[in-house]
Amino acid sequence: MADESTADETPITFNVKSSSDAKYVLTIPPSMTVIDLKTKLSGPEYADIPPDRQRLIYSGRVLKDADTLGSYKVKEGNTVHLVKGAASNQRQNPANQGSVNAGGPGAQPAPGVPTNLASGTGQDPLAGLTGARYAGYAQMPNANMFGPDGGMGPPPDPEHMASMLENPNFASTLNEALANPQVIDQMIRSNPMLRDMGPQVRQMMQDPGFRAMMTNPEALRNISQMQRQFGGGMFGGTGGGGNQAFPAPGITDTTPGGQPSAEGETAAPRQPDAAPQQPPNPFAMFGNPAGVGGAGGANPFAALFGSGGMGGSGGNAPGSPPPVGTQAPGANPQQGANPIADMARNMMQNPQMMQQMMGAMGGMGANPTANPDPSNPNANSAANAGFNPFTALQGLGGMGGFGGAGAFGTPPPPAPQDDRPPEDRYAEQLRQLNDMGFYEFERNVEALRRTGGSVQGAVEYLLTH
Amino acid sequence: MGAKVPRNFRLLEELEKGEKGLGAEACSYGLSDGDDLLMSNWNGTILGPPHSAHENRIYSLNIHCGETYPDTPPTVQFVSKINLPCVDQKTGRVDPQRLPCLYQWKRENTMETILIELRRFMALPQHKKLPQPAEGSTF
Repeated sequence: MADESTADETPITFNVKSSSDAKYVLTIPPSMTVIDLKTKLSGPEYADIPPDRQRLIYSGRVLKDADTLGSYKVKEGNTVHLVKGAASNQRQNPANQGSVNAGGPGAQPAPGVPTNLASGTGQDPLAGLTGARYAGYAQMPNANMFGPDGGMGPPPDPEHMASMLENPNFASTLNEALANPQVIDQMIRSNPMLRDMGPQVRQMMQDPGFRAMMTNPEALRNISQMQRQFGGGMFGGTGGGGNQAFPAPGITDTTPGGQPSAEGETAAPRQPDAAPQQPPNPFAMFGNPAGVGGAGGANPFAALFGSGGMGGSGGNAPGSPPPVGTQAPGANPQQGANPIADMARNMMQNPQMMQQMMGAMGGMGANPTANPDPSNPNANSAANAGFNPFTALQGLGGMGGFGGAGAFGTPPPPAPQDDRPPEDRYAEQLRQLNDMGFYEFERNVEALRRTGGSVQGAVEYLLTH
Repeated sequence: MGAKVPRNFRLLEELEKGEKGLGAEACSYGLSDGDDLLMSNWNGTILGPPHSAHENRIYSLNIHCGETYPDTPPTVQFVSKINLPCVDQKTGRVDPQRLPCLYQWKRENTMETILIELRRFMALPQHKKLPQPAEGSTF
């Protein structure tokens, strides 16, 4: 003990072992402080790590900058571990908070947000969109007579909607509202379907790209144009109520014969009573639990929230006189059976179909098989017009535009982010390893993780461990 | 104690291994008070496993080796806050019933065994995503 205070100046020689396996031998007087040591180590001849990123560990303790080496009793020949830490806490914390938020649908309200946003719809700028007036009208044929503002006016056509958005005030209000986590929470809370979908919804809503799309009049125009071209009949006759039989989805006539048994496994259990009719309201996704599915045809956005690729199917299916296929089972929307859901099911279980769809949407095809509906000569251009907004969505986490809609309808898939579980991230590599005869899942994952996903490295690791 | 390595010899061995850094990279341990002749209280650190919420973090622990060590396991307590099923969220104490190497303690186990096992525990797929308290907070 005494030697501490008398500051024994005999230099000690010790090792510093860095996490990259490099080993440095230093001879230093014990009176030297840890920060001095770090500064020394930050030089290019040593670890070359800035002092504030160095963590020195000795004998089970993290060395504090201000202390001297003597106070930790670093002895001759001992080893101090050098670890490269995060630059500061900043890097780690946001990531964690993100996961906390994503974990619970009932996220904490942001500070400074007036609570009446959640309680009083009177104060809510989105009341017209999030209110209950859309909810529960699943079978009500004339739901479309309610304007997005809740009024009884004629349904605004998408043009109208878009021009409304061109009003900078409205656009910015909406944008602001969407930027407000609490509003999003409220939307999600008020909509069981969104609620079920968990954190992804919030993530998506919070994505600036998505917001930009939602509030970009141009994008809305594109979308509505596409809607019209795909499903003109439906929108033309919006007043027609529930009597319109759902036409058989045109696209299914390429497959459904082979697929009927596939039904009921994954798809679309959420909206058996989906409303077949919705106004072509791009905002139908807000607070409209029942409408989402049914609006699929009308509303490409709804597809993202709705069940099983409704939007995708809707694009091809509804509205036009049914010249093709009557295979779709239960084609009576009044009974709540939704042929599109069935089709979506088929589609989802048929990757080829999905691809075809995507291809068509990507402008590759006025593919006659994908768009057999003769009333759709413009399908191709429509697909092009509509495609841009959807690429934005693709960037949003691999929802993959139309194809992804199917994924969204099934129980929420893991969002493809960096932090995906290794099983997903390394799916391809794991398959390869399996093919090579490495069947131990845990070990494979471990090996892949250690080698950063390199199959070859993983094989080497597996063989040597 | 018969032919078994007596407690203090064993602890001296571990001390040397810890100080010289002969053990695993990611764990470090040493006496918390170098003058403690009974070598009861130890510090340990675990470097958070990569690709987990613990990445880049350093967790400090206290390890207490009782009179009967190594016949009985030491008690282990986290100093740094950590969210892990085997760690008491109020005290930071590691629940011996929840960690196999403590539950099925063998005489050959060392403090390093525990630290490594804890680290492995952190990296388990079901644990590595657990939201973690702010770095640097302590129990």
